[in-house]
Amino acid sequence: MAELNTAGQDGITVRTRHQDGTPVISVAGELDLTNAKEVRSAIEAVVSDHGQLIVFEVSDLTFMDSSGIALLASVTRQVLRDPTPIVRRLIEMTGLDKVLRMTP
Amino acid sequence: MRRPAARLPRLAGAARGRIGLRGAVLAVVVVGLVLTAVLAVVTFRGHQRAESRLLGLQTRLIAAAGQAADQLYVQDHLGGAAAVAAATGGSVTEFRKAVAGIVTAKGPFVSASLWQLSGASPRLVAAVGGKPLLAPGAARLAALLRQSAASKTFVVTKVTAPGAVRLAFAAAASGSHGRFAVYAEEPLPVNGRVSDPADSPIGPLSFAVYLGRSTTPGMLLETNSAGPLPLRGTTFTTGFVFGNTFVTITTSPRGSLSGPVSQVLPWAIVAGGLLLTFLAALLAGRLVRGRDDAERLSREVRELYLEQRSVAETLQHALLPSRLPAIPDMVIEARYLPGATGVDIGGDWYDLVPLDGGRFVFKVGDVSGRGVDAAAVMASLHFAGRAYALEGYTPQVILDHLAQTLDVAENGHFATVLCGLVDIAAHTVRLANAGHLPPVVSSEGQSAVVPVKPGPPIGIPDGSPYEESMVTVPPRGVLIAYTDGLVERRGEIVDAGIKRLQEAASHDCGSLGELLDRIITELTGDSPADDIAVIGLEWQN
Repeated sequence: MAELNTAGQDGITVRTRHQDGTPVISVAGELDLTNAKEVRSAIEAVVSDHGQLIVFEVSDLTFMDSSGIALLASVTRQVLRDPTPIVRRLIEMTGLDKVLRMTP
Repeated sequence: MRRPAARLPRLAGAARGRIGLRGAVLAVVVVGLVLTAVLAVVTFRGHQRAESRLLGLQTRLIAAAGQAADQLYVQDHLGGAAAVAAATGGSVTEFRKAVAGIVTAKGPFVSASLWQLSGASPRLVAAVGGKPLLAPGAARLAALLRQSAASKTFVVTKVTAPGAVRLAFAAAASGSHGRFAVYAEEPLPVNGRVSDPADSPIGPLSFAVYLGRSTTPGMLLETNSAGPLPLRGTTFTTGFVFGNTFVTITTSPRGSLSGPVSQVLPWAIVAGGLLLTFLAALLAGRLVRGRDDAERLSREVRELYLEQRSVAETLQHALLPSRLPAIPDMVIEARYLPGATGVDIGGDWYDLVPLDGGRFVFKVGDVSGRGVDAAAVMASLHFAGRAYALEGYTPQVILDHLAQTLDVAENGHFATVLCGLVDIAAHTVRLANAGHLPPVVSSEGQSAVVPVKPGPPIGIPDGSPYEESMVTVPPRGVLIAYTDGLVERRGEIVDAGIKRLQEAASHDCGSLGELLDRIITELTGDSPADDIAVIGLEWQN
């Protein structure tokens, strides 16, 4: 299990694990331009083939800016698990609910 | 190019009062030399103190040994022989027996004689050994014998003759048979020079032994020094009572008494100190040079950074319309505020393209990310969008076309764009939305969020074409389109910000420009965190 903790004022915590062979990256805190690279390196660490499904666990993601959206959208197949209302609404308002699928 | 000199940090000010390269090296050298000198002097003094203490110690030991051995030897043997004579009435046989062991070819005495002191002048009773330098009858001998009679201990004097130097002793004793004295002579080296015995305990010392309390050359008994007398350099003088007189011993070390390390130490400190000073100066020089280099580099990086920001700012300002085109029967106002976070510029923009037939196309967009490449993406979308608008495409087609020009998977950026085609006379706006926040319409104290179904942002296609919706703006109504920096707050659902905007827009206040300014102030304060672009369209009838 890899863990990356960035010590910023708007800290973000990124944890990676595997569930039934599917990489699950949990992102907690505030995802923005200043720390998007932490999540990017977590993604790059688990992507083995291009069409692979990646699950983002975002139940503790309290904020995401356009850089965060760009980052999540750059993955070919992804699911956002259990998004907060803030993130869910942001994705809906950005017209990305077809691209960034959310469960439930 | 604009050079924002005022924003450069006061590095020059920080450099004032600091030590330069030469100063630092000089300071290190001076401190190093002073420390070395002080250490060397202290060590040298310590060495000297140790040397003189050791010298004194050794000399006193020699003196103590001499006093104990020589004093007892003379008193025992010569005084003993006199006592035997006094007890036996001057028996020649007993006298010969008493001095047999001490008057030999190997010494210590070369001659000894027994004298009776009862008469006016001493009378020779017996003599053994060689010929004395003071022959019987010599006035000096007689005086010496008389002196011994009056002394509680033996008497000593130095006797010199051509080719011979001797130490003359006289010891007297009284008994039932009268008063007797023994006279003996001990040979000394003619010039006083002796060589050190192989197993001498006083190895590294030069010494000179004198009879009496002064170190006059005439009273020299013996010395192991080949050099001139009295001894020079570091000397220590002591002595001991010897018979009726005194023996003075002066010593001087030949080498280091405390060992070679102690002797070499001050010089080793000087050498080590000089070496360390040199190395420290070298290091100080390098450090100062490294610091200067780092500061220069930091200045250069900062200047480059500001230059880059300046380029991006220039690009962005060039892209934003400096003055919006005048549209008949409309008031158009726009605002752009750079965000306070970071120094990278954002990719917000707005645009307005007048068309014929009382129509115009407006756009508000926001490229994700920041910096020069975000500004470049913004530029391409801006110009492409203008071109499509001038071609007479509808908003939906404009966005469909723009979607062909950008892919987030390729360059990491996407853009949200709201595009509207306004028919002024009809009060209608055809809107297409690529992931952008919905505009707000207000009129006569009422305001509403325009429901515009968002398609995906430009650069993140989901395979479906954009949809268009039509909104009718009431007479004298205002439509406000904006970027997310105006309404977004961390930890808050975006609808709450839109709600605030809607409320702020419903308060009528003078001109459209004043309304936009007040909205911005109310929603973001004086320094918005993110970039903000706002465009307001007001119908004059």
